[in-house]
Amino acid sequence: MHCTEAKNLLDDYLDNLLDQPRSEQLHAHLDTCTDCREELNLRRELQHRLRKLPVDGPTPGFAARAMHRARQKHHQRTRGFLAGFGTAAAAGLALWAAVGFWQPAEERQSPHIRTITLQVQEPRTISLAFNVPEQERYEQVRFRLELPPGVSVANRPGQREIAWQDRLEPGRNLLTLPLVAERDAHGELVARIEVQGVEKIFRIPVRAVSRGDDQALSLETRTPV
Amino acid sequence: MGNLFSPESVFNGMAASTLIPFRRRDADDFEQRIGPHVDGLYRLAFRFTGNRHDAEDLVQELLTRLYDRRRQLREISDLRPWLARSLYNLYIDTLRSHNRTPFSQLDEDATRLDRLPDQDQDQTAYDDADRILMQALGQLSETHRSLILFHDVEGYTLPELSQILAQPVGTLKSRLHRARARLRELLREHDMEPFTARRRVNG
Repeated sequence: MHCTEAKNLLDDYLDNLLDQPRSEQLHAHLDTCTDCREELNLRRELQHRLRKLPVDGPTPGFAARAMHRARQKHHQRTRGFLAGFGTAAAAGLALWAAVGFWQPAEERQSPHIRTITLQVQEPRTISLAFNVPEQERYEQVRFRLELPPGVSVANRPGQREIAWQDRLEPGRNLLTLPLVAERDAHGELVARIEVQGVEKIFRIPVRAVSRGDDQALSLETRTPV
Repeated sequence: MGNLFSPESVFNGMAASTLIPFRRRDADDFEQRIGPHVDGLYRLAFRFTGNRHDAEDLVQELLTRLYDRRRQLREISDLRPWLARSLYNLYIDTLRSHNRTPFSQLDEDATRLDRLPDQDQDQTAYDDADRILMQALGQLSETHRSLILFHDVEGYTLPELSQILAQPVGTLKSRLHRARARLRELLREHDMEPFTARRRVNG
């Protein structure tokens, strides 16, 4: 082996990328060549130095602070639901219906609630967002969703009510729900949420139209009630 | 009242990809997944920017952007190279958008040394060899510099780098060899000890 060839192999050798035969050939050369041996040592020293290159550590508590700020900035930006629509679109969700802030209101319609529009016989997954203030957390929340006649949970013909118990954590809680309309329908999805003995009711307009209807898949912004 | 059921039972039997019944607030999830990588990201950011302040800014910006896309993060199985790639892209974008000169294009005069970390700071001990090395790294092209920082300094493997830099392993390997050769050349040109001292002593 010549020096040129040997030197070309040194990096691979140091990176443990040389196969056994090549490695042995290189060793045989190194045994007889001071120059290449020195080159190897030099490169080894350089690699060692590079690996040991110091870092000025971050300021104390940086990681936790950075995480916190990331969350904070996100919530500042997405306060209100309109931003949520953008997020949902980016995430490829079929539709995003925001069910509302957790506020002491007996029954309300969020100004941002849109009509859920379905095409008859075409399943569509909608997302419901339940927003809870940062410092709050609700255990044992009772949920009941009621669908209008003609609309049911996908794969469950006729299933128009869902009730269960779950918890709501700070921030946005998302429920994804696959729906399908069996026929033209006009009605409301009613979400009843009971926490600590108080029930909140949210109503989201639902419309199902047959294929070919010009209005199909349009999203309507509901004016605040 | 009939037909009551929990979402879990409703969703039983549906394709898993169709839905996750109740997607809980994902901040905790975000922290669990990203938290363990923050130190590594900071190190990387420090390598690129060369100082603590810019490194922290870079990582902060990255985390903020990632938080907005935290649901997408769940689909990424190997986060380390993915995060490194995001950080690197953000770094390059930041350089471009601020129209700042990358280190690689700065003059190599004495002021360059003043920009090196530690001069104002307390804890980190950079010896002369470190300074020399960092100075030489700063004179490499951005491509060469980042390869060496990723691979030789931070220990990213070639397959990982292939994901990070979207280049075939073979290409990266020969580029890395050229980058190292250039680095050695710079160290020799400037007769930078101890990288040339050994040669003289032994030779």
